[in-house]
Amino acid sequence: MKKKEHSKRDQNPQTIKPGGKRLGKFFAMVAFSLVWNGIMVFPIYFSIKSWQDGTPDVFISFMAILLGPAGLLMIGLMFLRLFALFNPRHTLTLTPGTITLGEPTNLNWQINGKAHRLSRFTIYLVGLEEAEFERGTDTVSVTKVFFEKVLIDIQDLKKESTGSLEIDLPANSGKLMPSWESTHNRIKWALYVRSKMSRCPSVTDKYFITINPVATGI
Amino acid sequence: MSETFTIHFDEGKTEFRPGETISGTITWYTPPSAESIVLRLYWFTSGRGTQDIGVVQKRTWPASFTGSAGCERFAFVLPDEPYSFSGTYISLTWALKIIALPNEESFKKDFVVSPTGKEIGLDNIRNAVNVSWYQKIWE
Repeated sequence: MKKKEHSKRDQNPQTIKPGGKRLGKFFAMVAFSLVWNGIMVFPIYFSIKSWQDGTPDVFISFMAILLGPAGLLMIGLMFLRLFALFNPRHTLTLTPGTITLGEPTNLNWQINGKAHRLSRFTIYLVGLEEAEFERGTDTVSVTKVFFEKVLIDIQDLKKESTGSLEIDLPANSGKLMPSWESTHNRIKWALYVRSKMSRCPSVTDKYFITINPVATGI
Repeated sequence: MSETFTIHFDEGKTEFRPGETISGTITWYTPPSAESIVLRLYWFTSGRGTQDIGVVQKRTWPASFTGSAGCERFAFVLPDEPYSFSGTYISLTWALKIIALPNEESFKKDFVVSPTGKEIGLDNIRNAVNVSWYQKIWE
């Protein structure tokens, strides 16, 4: 079997970092929860007071009943995000540091911390198209996943806390678009690492990567 | 087809590979007011997002050289990327555009650039384990 050769791109290993930090997600949920519940305190307070005074305000009571539980849900999500901070973290290393269509790339994964606490560990390769447009005075973006492939899915991590796999994307499939970015439109690729501890929701960390087009030497 | 301009690719090709040379002939018949003729090699996006345009190369023929009618050969080496593709929100098309300045009368001809010579179709390729609705919300 003929061994595939790498093009003259950066051949050095590269450790990739997650796009969104768990701590950032936690603080975002704390801030959102504080703002929401801070606002909701007033209709709930005036609703209760109106009933105590014997002049019930139906509209405010309706708003409090409708929107109050959402605040409780946010507090719940905030605690789940807090628990997610203690999920084992991972280190991903690509060799070479970027993926090129038609050239195999090695992905090393390592779970840092107590890997045995995980009941499931999955790595996906995901391709997304993202388009930005103006709506009124706002810039809105829409995203669509066009490629999603499970690279590894382990359900018993008692012994494994590290491993490697090969990513080999065909050059001429006619269905794969490499990473590409212009001002308002882009094709993005990422490794989604989903880890799940028993009796906890799974946590997904996104590692954005670059997939190069086939090298022609131009 | 514009009566003022024509663009012909050699051998009638409209599908090219990255790094390949795109060549052909342009002809024009413009009013005497035209100061120059510009040929642009570029790509543009269409779809949900705001349009992006990338001019890769261009050639200009001054009016003193062109006269009101003319015929010229062109050849451009295509870059590695971007590929022509079509997705749910974004499509990218390559084109050659001939423009008469200053009135900007123009004519363009689309073509495809990709490793297979065919437009990349971003179909939904999914091979993933099922994820419950609450996990999707959570993530």
